[in-house]
Amino acid sequence: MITQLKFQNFKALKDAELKLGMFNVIVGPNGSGKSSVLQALRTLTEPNSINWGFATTVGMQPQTLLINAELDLGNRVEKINLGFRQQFGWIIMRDPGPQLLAHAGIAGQEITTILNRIKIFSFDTATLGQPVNAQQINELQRDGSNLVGALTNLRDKDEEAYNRLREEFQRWIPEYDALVFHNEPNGQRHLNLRQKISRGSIPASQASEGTLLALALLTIVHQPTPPVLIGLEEPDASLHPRLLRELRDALYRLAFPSDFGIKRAPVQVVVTTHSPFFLDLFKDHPEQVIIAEKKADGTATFKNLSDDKELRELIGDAPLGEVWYSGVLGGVPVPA
Amino acid sequence: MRVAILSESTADEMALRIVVDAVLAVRTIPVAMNLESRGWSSVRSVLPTISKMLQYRTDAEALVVVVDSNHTYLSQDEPKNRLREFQELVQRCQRELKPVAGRVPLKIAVGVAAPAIEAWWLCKSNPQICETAWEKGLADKRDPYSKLELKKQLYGSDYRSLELMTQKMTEAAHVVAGDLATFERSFPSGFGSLAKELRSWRRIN
Repeated sequence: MITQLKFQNFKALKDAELKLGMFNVIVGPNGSGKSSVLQALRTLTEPNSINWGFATTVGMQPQTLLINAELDLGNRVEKINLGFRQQFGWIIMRDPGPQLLAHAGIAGQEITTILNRIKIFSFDTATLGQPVNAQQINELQRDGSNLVGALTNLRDKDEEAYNRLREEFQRWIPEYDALVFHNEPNGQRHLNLRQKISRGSIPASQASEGTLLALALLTIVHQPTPPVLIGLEEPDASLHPRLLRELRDALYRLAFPSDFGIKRAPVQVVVTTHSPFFLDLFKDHPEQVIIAEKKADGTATFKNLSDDKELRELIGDAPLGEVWYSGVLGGVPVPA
Repeated sequence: MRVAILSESTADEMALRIVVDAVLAVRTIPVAMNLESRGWSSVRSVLPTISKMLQYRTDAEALVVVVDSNHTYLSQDEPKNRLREFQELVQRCQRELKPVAGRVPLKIAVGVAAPAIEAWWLCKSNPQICETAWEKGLADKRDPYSKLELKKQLYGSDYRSLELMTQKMTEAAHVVAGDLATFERSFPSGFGSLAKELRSWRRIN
């Protein structure tokens, strides 16, 4: 898991440090660096090049090292740097420790494997219900495109997981009782949602944004081999506030599978939100809440609620979302 | 004097500060904590936390809380009395505040606008708008005016920007602050009790 990110001159994050746990909810005003965190994680997964030697071997100067990430690999901690150089684009480099150089190649390969299994999603709801090429069945894309393909893939490869997804989807959105796939002669695969009462079907592309978002989120959650880290930009955005508890629990299943009797490795989760209702659900776990703060000079910083040892007592019985909204925790827009 | 103001909308704060300053006869200094709430029930939820944060983590000397009464009474003998509910809450909050070396305990004053804060700002221009009229309407189960009508009267429109609200409230607050006696006569419970509490601070300071 990624335990720490340090930023230098990365967008609004001029000099910021972010400690990450297994589950992380980031709140803060617009432009406070929440999306930059997800963008940084995404860039780690798709650099233009990788160099597992010294940073200096590609001429990278320290001031151009924009992001430093600390990875806990279970048996050791590795540090990597992500920098940008005009000729090369984004470059990932290992933070060279003398004791590690002897096995730099193997470690680099291991790190690359992990980074490749980080998935960051920022859904464009317009793409979610679109038909896909039936021959091209692969995974859900970061903007939510290929949802139909990802669902088909899951149905064909792991029927049990697919059935669990369907059951949970029906619980979240009881209006529909079946997912119906069909192929058009032109090779396009469509998804229809069958309405429980009328038994009529509507094309997924005509379903509500919240319905499609729920389906996409459940597709991520029910993957039999999920990524090592999932980042989600405002997953609550189109969901009814009463569904947020279901959303939190589904994401908790990813991060804490053993608590739900699921046998698989935990998935680190990083989500951003603007919803006080969603934040209310994390009152018992202040260590999971990160407040992004925008300073007057436009720079941004992060603080974890659990860093403030007295805060739980100060918040008392008040809902966490209300307290955050009130402004006493910071992480709210500052009037001009 | 450093005074934080917590009400139901950001537009209220500037106007309320004008009146608070007039009663206290000092120019209060805002506290560097950008307070905002989502209505009276939200104020009720967060008041204990906010009072502690102000006491322990800021140099605020006082907090002024103002909420709307909506369809509740302000007369002391009524069971559904929002003013009493908030006064009791304030007392509980103050009891829970632990002393901090080098500073006096946070003072808290509460006001309740019947039925909404716009009524306060309209009382000089329209003497029909007052607590007595509102409570009589409650008793007769016939509102003399609606909150929407008050807003339309003050802002001149059903749909108004935060900027316009702030401007209109601030203008009206200056007028009201210039004649506090009328203001208190019009709203003896909801504003009168707030003014009385504020004046007691004047004696302390």
